[in-house]
Amino acid sequence: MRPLARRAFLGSLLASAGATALPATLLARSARTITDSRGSRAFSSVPERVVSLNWALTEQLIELGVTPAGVADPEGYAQWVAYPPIPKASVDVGKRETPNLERILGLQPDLLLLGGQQANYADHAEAIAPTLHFELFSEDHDNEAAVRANFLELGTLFDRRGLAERKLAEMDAKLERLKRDIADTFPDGAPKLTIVRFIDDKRVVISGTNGLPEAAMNALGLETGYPIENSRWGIAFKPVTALAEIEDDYVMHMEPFPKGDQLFDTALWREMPFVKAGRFRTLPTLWTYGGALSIGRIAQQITKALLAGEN
Amino acid sequence: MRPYLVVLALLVGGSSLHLAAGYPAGLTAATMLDGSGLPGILFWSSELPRIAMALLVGAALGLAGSTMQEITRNPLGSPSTLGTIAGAWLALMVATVFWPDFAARYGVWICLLGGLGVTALVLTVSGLARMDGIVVIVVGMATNLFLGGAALILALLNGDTIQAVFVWSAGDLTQTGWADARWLAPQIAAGAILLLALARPLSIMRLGQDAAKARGLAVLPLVIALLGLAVWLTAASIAVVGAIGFIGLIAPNVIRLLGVRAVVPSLLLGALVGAASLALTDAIPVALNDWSRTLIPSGSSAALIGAPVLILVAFRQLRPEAAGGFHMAWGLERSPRLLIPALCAAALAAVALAIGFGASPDGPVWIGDQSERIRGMILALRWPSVVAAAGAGALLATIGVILQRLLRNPLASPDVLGVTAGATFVAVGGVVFFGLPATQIAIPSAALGAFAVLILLSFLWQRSETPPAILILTGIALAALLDAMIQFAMARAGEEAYDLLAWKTGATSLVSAHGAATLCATAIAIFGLTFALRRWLTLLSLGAGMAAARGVGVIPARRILLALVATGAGSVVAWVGPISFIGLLAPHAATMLGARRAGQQLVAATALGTILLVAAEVTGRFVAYPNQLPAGIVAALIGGGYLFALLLISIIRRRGL
Repeated sequence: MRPLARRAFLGSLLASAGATALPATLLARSARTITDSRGSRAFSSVPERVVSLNWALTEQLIELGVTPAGVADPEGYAQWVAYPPIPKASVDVGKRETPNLERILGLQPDLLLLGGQQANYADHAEAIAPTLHFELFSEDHDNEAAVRANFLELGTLFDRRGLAERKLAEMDAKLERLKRDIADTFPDGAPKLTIVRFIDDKRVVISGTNGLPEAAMNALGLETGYPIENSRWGIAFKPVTALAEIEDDYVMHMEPFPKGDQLFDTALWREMPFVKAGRFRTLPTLWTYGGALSIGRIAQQITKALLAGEN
Repeated sequence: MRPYLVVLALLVGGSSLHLAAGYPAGLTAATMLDGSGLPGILFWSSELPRIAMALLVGAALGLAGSTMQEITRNPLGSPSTLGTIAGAWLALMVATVFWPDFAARYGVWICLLGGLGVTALVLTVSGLARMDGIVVIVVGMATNLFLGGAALILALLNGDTIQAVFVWSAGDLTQTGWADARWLAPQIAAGAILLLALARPLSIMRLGQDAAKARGLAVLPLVIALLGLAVWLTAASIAVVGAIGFIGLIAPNVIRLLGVRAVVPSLLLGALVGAASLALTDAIPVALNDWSRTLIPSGSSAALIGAPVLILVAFRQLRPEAAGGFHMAWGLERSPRLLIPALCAAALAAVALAIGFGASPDGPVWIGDQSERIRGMILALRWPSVVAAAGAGALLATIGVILQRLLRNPLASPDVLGVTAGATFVAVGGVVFFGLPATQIAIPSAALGAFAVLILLSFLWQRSETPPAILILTGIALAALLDAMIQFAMARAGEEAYDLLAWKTGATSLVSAHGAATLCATAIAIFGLTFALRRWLTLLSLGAGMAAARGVGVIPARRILLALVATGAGSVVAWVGPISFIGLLAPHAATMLGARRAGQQLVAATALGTILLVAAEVTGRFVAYPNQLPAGIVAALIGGGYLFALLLISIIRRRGL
């Protein structure tokens, strides 16, 4: 009797605990709480009509299979971000810096997504619809961690947390594979690498600390050949001659670069150590201020370019 | 002999400093002579061509500036003030946006065409007979603002493709080989030789155009040929290195300071001073290159050094009459009886219509036709922009009237005097250099910047009764200096500059309801105070002596009025960004409509300013839908075009055509 009574007592205790606890967890699941740059915010249902004013957030949404009702500057996105393409159903709501608030209002959105560029519009946006404001890129935090966390956060919001986790896991597995490929090709240790984007034939943007290319390189076990200070976008703006400081490591530049011929024909360029050593590569159009899966795309292209020269 | 020695010393000193700053690390004498290895190559095909380019471009701009000043007899004449650089810049921007491949290959010819076209336009519109006055500078400024507005619209609508043009617009002498120098050297040599060969008859022109004509000089063909050559020198230079504008303004003034008078020597020395000053100033970005995180534009560093020198020159060289004697007041003698009530009604109607009409994919929509559900929300979004535009327009016009009356100069306006630039610089600097949150510090910092500039100006003013013309020149120099620093800040910020770009163009859509209400209240308060003090304005515009004789305490009156100006300019910059032109245009337009008395002019100008900026706000909604153009840019376009047209009409009327 005694053990039985105790078991029954415990059982009823558990049951009552469960009875009170169960609705609470159910409630927590339906009301998701999303943390943006201003704090946390509860959503009782999945937003249906989303307007995104930031390319990185647009990229994250499309990766999650969400078709935004409106996006800022789809034309520029097609040129600079390129992948994944914006669905045709998404409406152009003006430029990222000067969005057309009245047109956004006309789309009757139930969620607005703002990035760092739209901080000034936070109050206006809030008057139109519930707004999430994500500062994905900042000098004060790890940009890679920020975009990854944001991808999961958006996954939670749109009831696609599983998909987000799966895509990140797939990307990490791919990064792991690429890292092994590189290690196999360079058994004595991979060479250093610097990623750049040419502004014209005399000026260049060098990617470095806190940039997404660096995140990709870290995942691949690569080191930068041109260390720069931490900054918001993880870049430094330099004359092309600054590249002469890079020892005979790899340098890769991203398309598009219309003035390439004018630079690559110069004696100075031919004397650059990495050019002499045949370690200069061209990468396709890549968006280095994008979402979490950009890291995988950048890493993929880096690896492709790196291995193409060594086989 | 002394001027030549000074200039030679400057030239050698500038080049040596540049060389010392840019000498590649690890380069020994042996490897340098050999020219092999990376340090050797860096020396021979980066540092040396950079010095060569600095000397070439500096010489070209110095010669062009000297020639322009010689021809126009105008100490303010230069490739930047006559529209040459703005024309070349816009031409290149347009080509870069619409035909990028073509622009990459033929940029130099595009610049040449743009520079030539615009300079010819500026000089034709102002007329050869009026080049010595300030009219030509006003036309040049109007053109600069108009073209600058158009270029900014292109930049805003085309985001990242324009990034290269932004750096280029500040001017950068970085070289990767001798190709540019090899291209530029023969152009400049040919231009300079032709120019110097034609220059001798210019000394006859110093007697005045009529006297020159009487002595059988073919004035017009000579002027056209010389100006063509000067523009050629400028356009060729800025086509390869960007818009380095200050050298052309500074070199001829330094030459005058050195006491050189004869035409050919002063042109020759102008070229050498230009070369020396660009080599000297370009050593700064070279020296800081390793230390700084980002590129420092050569043009900004030229302005950094050039502007203080120009102010110095202005104070030592310029006589009051040199840039004075300019009257834009023409038009109606007396205002029509109903003018003031009509303007006030029009201003109110403009505000009401701007709140009522919106843009849609199918064109304009009246607020009443919107579905009831969103009507209130649309109104809530729209009224702050419109009210802010109205408030900013009114404020700028009010302080424009104060400044023009106070300085007794029709060119005085918050943007011309550098007040707007001061406010903008402090606000931008706070965001870029100290990472301060733009929204919270904008107001105090912008007001601080405006105050600082005005305090500086009034300090210069109190000492020795500085003539208004010099004050204006000081303001222009100050604005150029601050603009250079803003550009430097924006260039340092790189991608972050785009955050500031929208605000920097006068985006009324950024303003909050609270901000709009505050701005409007400020406008009403400042207008009210100014109107109450209109007697001061009337008396001060007759001169300090007259005002004092009538019992006005001149110094305190000036201080109070300048405090109003600083508060007004600071508020506008802080809430909606730097908006140019309205402060210059509205008071002038009011005078033209016959509102000549201080009180009349104040009311009419304020109403006109309101109408103009509200109209710009509405225009910006429609023209590039769904993209929104900032009201400030549209206002510059409308205002620039308007002023240009006014001047054209005035010239046609004067010639009796």
